[in-house]
Amino acid sequence: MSLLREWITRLLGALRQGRPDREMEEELRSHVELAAEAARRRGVQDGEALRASRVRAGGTAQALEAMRDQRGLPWLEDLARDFRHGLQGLRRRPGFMAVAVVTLALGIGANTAIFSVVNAVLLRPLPFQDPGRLVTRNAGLSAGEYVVLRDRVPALASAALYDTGLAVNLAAEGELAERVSASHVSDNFFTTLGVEPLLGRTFRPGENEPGATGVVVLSHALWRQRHGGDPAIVGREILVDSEPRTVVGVMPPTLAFPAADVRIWLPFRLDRLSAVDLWGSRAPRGQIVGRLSSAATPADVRREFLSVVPEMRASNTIWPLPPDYGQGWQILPLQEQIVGDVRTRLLVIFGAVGCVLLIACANVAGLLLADARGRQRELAVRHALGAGRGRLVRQLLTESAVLGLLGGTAGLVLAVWGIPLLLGTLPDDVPRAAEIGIDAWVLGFTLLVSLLTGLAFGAVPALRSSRADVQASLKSESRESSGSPGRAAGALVVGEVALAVLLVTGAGLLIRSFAALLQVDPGFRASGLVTARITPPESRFGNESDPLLTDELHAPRRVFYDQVLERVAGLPGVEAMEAVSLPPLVPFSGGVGQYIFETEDDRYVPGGLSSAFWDRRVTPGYLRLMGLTIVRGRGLQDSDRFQDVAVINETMAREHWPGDDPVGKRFKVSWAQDWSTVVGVVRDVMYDGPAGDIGPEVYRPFAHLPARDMSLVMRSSLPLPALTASLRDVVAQVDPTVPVSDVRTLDQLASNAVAGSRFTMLLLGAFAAVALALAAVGLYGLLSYVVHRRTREIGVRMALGAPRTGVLLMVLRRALALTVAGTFLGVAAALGATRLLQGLLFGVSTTDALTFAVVPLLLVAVALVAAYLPASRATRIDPTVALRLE
Amino acid sequence: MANREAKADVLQGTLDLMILQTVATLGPLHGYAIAARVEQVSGGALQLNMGTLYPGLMRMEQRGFIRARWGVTENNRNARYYEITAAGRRQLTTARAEWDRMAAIMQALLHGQE
Repeated sequence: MSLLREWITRLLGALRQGRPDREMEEELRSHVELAAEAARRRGVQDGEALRASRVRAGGTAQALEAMRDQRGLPWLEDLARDFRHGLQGLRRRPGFMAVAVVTLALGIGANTAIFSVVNAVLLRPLPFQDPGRLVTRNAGLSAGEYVVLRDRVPALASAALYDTGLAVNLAAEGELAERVSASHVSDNFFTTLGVEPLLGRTFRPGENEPGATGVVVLSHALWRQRHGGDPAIVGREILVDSEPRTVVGVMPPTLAFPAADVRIWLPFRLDRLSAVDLWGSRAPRGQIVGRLSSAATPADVRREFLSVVPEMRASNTIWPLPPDYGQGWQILPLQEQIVGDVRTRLLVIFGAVGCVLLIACANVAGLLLADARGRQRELAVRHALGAGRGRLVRQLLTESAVLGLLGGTAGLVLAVWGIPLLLGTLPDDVPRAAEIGIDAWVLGFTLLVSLLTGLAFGAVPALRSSRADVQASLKSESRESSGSPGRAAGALVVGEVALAVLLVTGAGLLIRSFAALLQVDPGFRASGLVTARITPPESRFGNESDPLLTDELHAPRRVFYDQVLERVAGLPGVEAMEAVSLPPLVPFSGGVGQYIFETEDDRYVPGGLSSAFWDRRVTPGYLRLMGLTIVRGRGLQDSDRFQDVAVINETMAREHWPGDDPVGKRFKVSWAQDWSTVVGVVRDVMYDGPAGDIGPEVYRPFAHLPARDMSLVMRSSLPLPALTASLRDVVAQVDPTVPVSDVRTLDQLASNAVAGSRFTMLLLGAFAAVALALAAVGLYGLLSYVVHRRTREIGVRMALGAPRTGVLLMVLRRALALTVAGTFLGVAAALGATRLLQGLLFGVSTTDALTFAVVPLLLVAVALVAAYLPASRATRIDPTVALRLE
Repeated sequence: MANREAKADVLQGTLDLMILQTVATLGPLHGYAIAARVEQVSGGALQLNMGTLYPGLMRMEQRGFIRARWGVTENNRNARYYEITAAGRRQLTTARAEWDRMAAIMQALLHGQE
């Protein structure tokens, strides 16, 4: 308490709020006089008394100094003084300051911007209660597996099931039919996450049992946009996929799970008593999120689950568990799973931007070294006047910290301006992108980095300068005492070149990888095509996994799509139009999907190996419009419209009829009745983008097997907004409850598919370019300094007859020596570091010979350009002028 | 500078205790009177110079153990008088007990029975 009081008083003292000097002096004077008075009383002579008492009391000046130290906080006052002094010093050297601040601003600004992403995506805890205890599985699971985890694993205090990629239609009389992202969740989803609703309630236990009345929870965004933020929404009915559902609650805007764009949560229909519903081949599947019990770890969850497996195996008659069942199970922290692959990308980018900052530091350190020579005299004078070495080091470091802070401030401005640009290039798959911005953590990071940067680039020059020979400096300003400032600066340049080589190599590999991605033949012609998704409601148009799917449901689909296709084809500006149940590059969000199938030669056995194909229902002209190449048999024709025929892809032909002609062979979905006959084989299509996998694909006539959800593929000259409006109009004329969504060009979708690679490549490329530029500037600065310093020597050489080319070569040799040394270091580092890029590269090895050959050549070329100016300046030195220089 | 700090460290606790005890027993005193009293009690062995005494007084004032006001001596000189506070008395009690304990330990250690 009393200590605290002392420090507060002293802090006030440091801010000039303590006893004034005059008053302290008076007290000391009074002391001396009182002492003299006492001495006189003891009979000492007058003048002698005053002198003796002064001697005994010690010097007034030292006492006053000691009191001043006690009054305030001396180091703080020194710091403030050095700070002011540093600012003044920088203002006297505007050129130096501008170069240093701009360099640092680039480095710190880029780091701040990238850190704002790293902070939001990787570091900030999920906005759930105690998020560190939330875990998930590395893959999806069936309803049956979920129930086991929920009921039989004590290490999980609670476990919730949810599905992803779902979308639903919202429609009501007089309202716009809209397609929004949704998620089915178990009744304990919100309590497991530990989030409270903004309005109303979340789901109650039992609300996902069969027979419960339909309820929904809305997201904040949906509530604001569609319902105008009306608080009376709770208890009201809305139509979800044309079914009436009661809104029971609205969540706060912070809840963006399982997807950033989720607008509505529906109860997962889960009958825990029905074995078929839990374990059947069409049992619902989803992802799990669990909350660990107080002392449990993810490993406990896995162990407890595996201990139940024998029992599951014994009791489960519907789905025989494979022998190695459960071995691939991993239980991960939820945050890790959400971040997924993005983590590597971000860390690589963060590492790269850190290298840029190091190069910037080295550059500024080089500037300071050159600059320190000019200040040798100032420092020597201060030293002669009694400033200790530690004091001088502190002064120089404070100055570089000032520089760091100025650079940091400018960098922050750059970051504020740059973050929106960065967000513009951010791929869609980056989770939590909406949270990216500058918060207290980012500001703290910038402050810390600015100060550390100041220390990093200030340390070497400060230690060197303070050690400099005072006598020599005072005697002569221009004569160099040793060549070592050049050596230190040379080491800095070598380091810069090495880091630049590292970054340029990484960027080179990513550029090569991106080029390889673009060269992949997708198997279709995207150019000029537009897709739009049409999703009629399940209530009237049926569910694809309904085993009772009969003509009763097929008929309305045919009628609906006949009218829609006819009207769309008649739209002005639509030149060609076909339909497919799921086009390339569009993620599956319900409807006809992937099914386990069997061929006549290879029947499906439950529990045995199975193979699944993507079932694409198409209008006959789809293959032609998309430019798919037929390699065997024929395509689909108008006459096939009501035939059970199919065109398959090469992969399916290769996997199931190897060495045989598949045309004429028959296959069927495992749970369906009717067999389809293969009439042709087409080239594989990269449906998931150039780096995606290819599996068996089947194209069957839509008219014969109508799908509920279809995508139109159009060649159209209309701009997207106009086309979207026309499509909505036309579809609403047929059925106002059916929304049109996801109107996009295929080019756009193709570009999104490689957005992650492009993002990493662009950022690393930009950082590599900055690194290269900074290294070139560093080399240029060093050589200019060296040439300047050796003006006299060069003059002498030339006076003695050295040819100009010799001088030129001398400077270039120095540049080359440094560059080659740096390049060697950089290549060695790159050989180790590019391994981190392994998962990010496509079609390029981490030790790609071309990249590793070109980058050093590039560096040498850049170095020669940077060296040329100072070198040619050296050759123009006039010996007579140089010799007179002193 | 480093040397001065080291000396102050050794002396600080003792010095504070001497000042507090002096001010507590003799009432409000100016700095010179405190120094004279310590010198007298120590038989001239301890001479507090101003550079030690006044920062010490200031420190205890900052900690709230003593308070000061300007007054006039019997010979009509201005002087700053120091007076102990309630917190200072509490501190004195604790510090004195601590000193006694320490002194007893040192006594036992240096001259105690084998």
